[in-house]
Amino acid sequence: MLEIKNLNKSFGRFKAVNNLSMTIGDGELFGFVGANGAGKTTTMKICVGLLAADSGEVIIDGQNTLSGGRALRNKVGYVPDFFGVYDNLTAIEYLQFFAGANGIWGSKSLPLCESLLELVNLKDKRDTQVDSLSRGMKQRLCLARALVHNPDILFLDEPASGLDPKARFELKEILRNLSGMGKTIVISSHILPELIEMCSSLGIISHGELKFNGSVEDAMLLSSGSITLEAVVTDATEKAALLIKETPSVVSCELVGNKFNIGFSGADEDITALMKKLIMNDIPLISFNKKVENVENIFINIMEGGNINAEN
Amino acid sequence: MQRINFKNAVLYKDMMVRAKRSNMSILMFILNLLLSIVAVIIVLSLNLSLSSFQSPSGAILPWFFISVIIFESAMICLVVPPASAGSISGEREHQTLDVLLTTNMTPLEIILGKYFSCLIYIGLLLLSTLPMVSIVFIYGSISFIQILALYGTLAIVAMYLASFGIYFSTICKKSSTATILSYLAIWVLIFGTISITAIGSVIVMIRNDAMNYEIYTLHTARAWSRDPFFFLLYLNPAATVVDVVGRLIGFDFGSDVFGGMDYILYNLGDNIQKTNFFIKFWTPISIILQLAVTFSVLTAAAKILDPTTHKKAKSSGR
Ligand SMILES: Nc1ncnc2c1ncn2[C@@H]1O[C@H](COP(=O)(O)OP(=O)(O)OP(=O)(O)O)[C@@H](O)[C@H]1O
Ligand SMILES: [Mg+2]
Repeated sequence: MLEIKNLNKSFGRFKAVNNLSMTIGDGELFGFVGANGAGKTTTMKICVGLLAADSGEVIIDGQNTLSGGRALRNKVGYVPDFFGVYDNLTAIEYLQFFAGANGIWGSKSLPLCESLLELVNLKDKRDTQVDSLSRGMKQRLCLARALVHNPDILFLDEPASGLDPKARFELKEILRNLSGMGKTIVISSHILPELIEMCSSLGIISHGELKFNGSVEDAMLLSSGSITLEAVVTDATEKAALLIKETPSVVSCELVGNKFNIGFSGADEDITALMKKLIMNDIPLISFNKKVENVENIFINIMEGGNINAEN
Repeated sequence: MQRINFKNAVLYKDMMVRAKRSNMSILMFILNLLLSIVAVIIVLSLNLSLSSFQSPSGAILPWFFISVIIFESAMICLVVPPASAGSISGEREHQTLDVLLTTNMTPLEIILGKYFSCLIYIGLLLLSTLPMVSIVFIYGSISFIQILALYGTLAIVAMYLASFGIYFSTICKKSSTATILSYLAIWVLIFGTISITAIGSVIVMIRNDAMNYEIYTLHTARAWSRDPFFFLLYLNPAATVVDVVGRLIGFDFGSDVFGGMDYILYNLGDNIQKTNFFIKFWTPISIILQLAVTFSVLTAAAKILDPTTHKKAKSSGR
């Protein structure tokens, strides 16, 4: 289990991470979401020991990694947002170098590296120079590199950025695969939809503060406190407006042309009741629908909704 | 003390990458070409002196030795900065440093891997000149032991200078800045120490004079050893080389000097105390001091490289 407690990090006067606490369970695929500059990379770098925190704890399997130094280094793997590869090395040499850097030498090294290449679908690129690989391939090679010492927890910083849809799909498959192998995976992104379909839980960070930590379902529930209904009428807009506004579950009502955008907070039965009421009152309704909740909206709702911590 | 793993992945990788680049063989070729020009000039002039005087001039042989040493030393000074200053900053420029730091290797191991890959590279360049140097030395009837002592000293100079390259590579973001700073460091070590010592001793002299003390001239060994700046010269790798060369070929100059520094100081004045400990043991003292500096510089670099030791974060890469 990975536990982050009251983590703080400032760059000069600027507070990049502000009293951040979150918990990530074993074997979880954790989505770490936040806008650009929210502090995702900073938090991850602290977790993998590339940055010293000002205060706070990062606890992996009950041990504080920040004070424990390098002892827990082989428990985490890290794929940074910007990563380079060496010229003059082939994919297999690249992996073998990192195997050596993690103390894996000799007869164990080659089979391990070959199986990792297979895991990330790069078997046919075994003897290709790494600097001539495509971005998606480099990304996967970097993932294989992070797996070389068989870590329990993987930190991936925006792994999907710059990848085409096919490469994204492949990456997701690999990540699901790894998750199935029991690894805890932390993926950062500023694109929530990308994460929500594969992650089991989420952390949402904004301006260095954690706004949400919990399961994806909790996030959905939280944000659907208010939904938007669309009602299009051909006539009698004034009468319709009155009817809508007097309904208790309606939070807001806005008329654009012939279309009402209704902020609504209530159960599905309340929606049916509103629709019935409009029809019963002879409002010429031609369309009535519940706007499909955009995942982006969840994100924005939670961000604007302040600190809603659904942790336990 | 940190644990050091002698099976160093960075060392293996860097050696492999250096070997794959073609510029090493080109550099070896150029070095030997230059050296062969020096050799031809020396052999020709030796033959000339042989034919005109019918016996090899006793004074001309040591100068062959000296010209080869100057050549090799200059080569080290020129090659060490580019070979060492890209070590860490190059990883930073390639955006591979972060990833390297998350492996099981400690910063000190990474530094040492880089350091030794640089030394092996310089060593191979030095070795590549050995056949040519031997030809010159066989003509000059210089013994194997003398060649060994010479190469040993040059190796120590390379070790000393390369540590500065590694250090600047650690603190600089760009390899180019690190390279310039390493050249500057070498310049300061060789010429800066001499200038400071000279200026310092003049100040000491003038002050002593003005205060009507027992007048020390610049020439006396006691003045030198009373002069605190004098000890800076121990950090000068050129002084070490000069001292070693003096020891190796001193007899050829017909004086009973202990080493090159003794010879130089002897020629500066008439009152030199040959038994002066600091001058008599110039070579070992300076070598010990320089190795101590090398060690400290490398450990300092490892400390700086460790991302968790200092609170003030340096932005890495971006
Ligand atoms: N080395 C540094 N020095 C000064 N400020 C920094 C440094 N690193 C990060 N910051 C600042 O800290 C804040 C958080 O940065 P961070 O890289 O963690 O954001 P992020 O969530 O990863 O953003 P992105 O989505 O753009 O990658 C930013 O405002 C950034 O300017
Ligand atoms: Mg980032």
